[in-house]
Amino acid sequence: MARIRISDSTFSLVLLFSFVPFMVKAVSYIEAGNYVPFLVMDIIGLPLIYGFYYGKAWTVNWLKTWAIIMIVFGALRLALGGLVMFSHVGIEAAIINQVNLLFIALCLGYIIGGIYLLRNASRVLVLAD
Amino acid sequence: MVCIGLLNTKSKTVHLFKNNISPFRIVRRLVIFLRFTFFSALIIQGQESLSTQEFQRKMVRELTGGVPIQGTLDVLRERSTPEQRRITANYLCRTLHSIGLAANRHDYKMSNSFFLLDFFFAPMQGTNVYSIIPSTEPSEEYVVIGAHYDSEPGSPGAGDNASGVALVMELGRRLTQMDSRKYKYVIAFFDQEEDDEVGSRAFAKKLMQCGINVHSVHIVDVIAWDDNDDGMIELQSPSKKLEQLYLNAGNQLKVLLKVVGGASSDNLSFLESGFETVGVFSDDLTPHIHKPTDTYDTVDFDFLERSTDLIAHVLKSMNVNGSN
Repeated sequence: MARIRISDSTFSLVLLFSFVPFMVKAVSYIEAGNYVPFLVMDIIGLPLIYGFYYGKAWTVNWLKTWAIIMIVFGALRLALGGLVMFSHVGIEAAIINQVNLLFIALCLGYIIGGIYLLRNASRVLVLAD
Repeated sequence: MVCIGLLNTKSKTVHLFKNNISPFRIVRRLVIFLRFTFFSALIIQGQESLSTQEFQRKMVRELTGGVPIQGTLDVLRERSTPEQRRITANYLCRTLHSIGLAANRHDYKMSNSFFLLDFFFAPMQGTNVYSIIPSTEPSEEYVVIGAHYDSEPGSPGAGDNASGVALVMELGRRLTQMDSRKYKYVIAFFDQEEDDEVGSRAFAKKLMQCGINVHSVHIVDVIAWDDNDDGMIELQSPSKKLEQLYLNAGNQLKVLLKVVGGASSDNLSFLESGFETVGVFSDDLTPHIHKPTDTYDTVDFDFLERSTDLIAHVLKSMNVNGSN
């Protein structure tokens, strides 16, 4: 039984959905024989589970770190996408083909979701009964 | 060959009945089935009677968008996006069927060429298409003959590499007509050569993992251009054994051959994996490579046919004499 819980269902939903694209990526890279993205997800995810048992401050810090990672990741991905869009020289077709409207929407989703998590992380955590 | 059957082979089963199927859908599927049967019969009847050059012209025209692919409304202007490559893979499967071969798919996922890209982009994924022509006497040795079917974005890719695909498919057609085959032959079409040879690397990796006994690998790429009409063919990094076989065949057919080092195509994947490999290319590089002008009209079909004859001769001499 966790000692900490999230009081805001929207926040829980955003947090949950923030994991989905990364989990999808981790699993698809396992299929490709590369376990690094999965390990990175573990390294990021395990402190959260630990934090729910350990204490509020830890969890808030973790949530903020995760939010910053999301924002930086979204911004970097958007910048890379822009680079790929405007300069095709020396870039593989498989990469070029990935940069489309969905790609941009997902990047914006990371940034907006990250900002939302960052702003609300301190507010939504309460001690469980 | 137990393991090559395990190359993630996908056999598609068409289920006629699903949940809540309406009479309209049944009629529609019946029409599709009849149309498919009709066109398949037409294609099979048509392919058998074509000469080498007619067959290769037809393939290159269909692969470069000159005409819709037979039996469909699909027009391939290039073979670069996932959708275009999917259509091409389906086309290759149908063509293999039409020459009497069972088509298999090898779906793969591979990491990007630069590891940091893995964090920002999805893994490379695609489909190699291959077929196995059995030997007529007991043998567990495989000869792989392959060409990549994708093209650079913005280029119809007639020379690079619809020409190679047409050559390999014609070899498949000739091999099926041979009375005796000492080896098993794998006719392979690789995806994503233009993306750091990902498709062939995945294929070579699978061959290694399965411990397949590979006699030799023959890779054909950009075999459509002869600037000075000398008919010269370039052999890239052939093993000693293969070099001798090709030189003998060249002498007999009066074809000029030039042996060079290095590897600029899918032959690199197999060389790196330690297979006996040869890359077969035009000696003169087409000036249209990777350009929108790499069209059907720029392909030298006489040269393509002579190159086909050369490799067919090599395969035949291996079959008669062995090569060990």
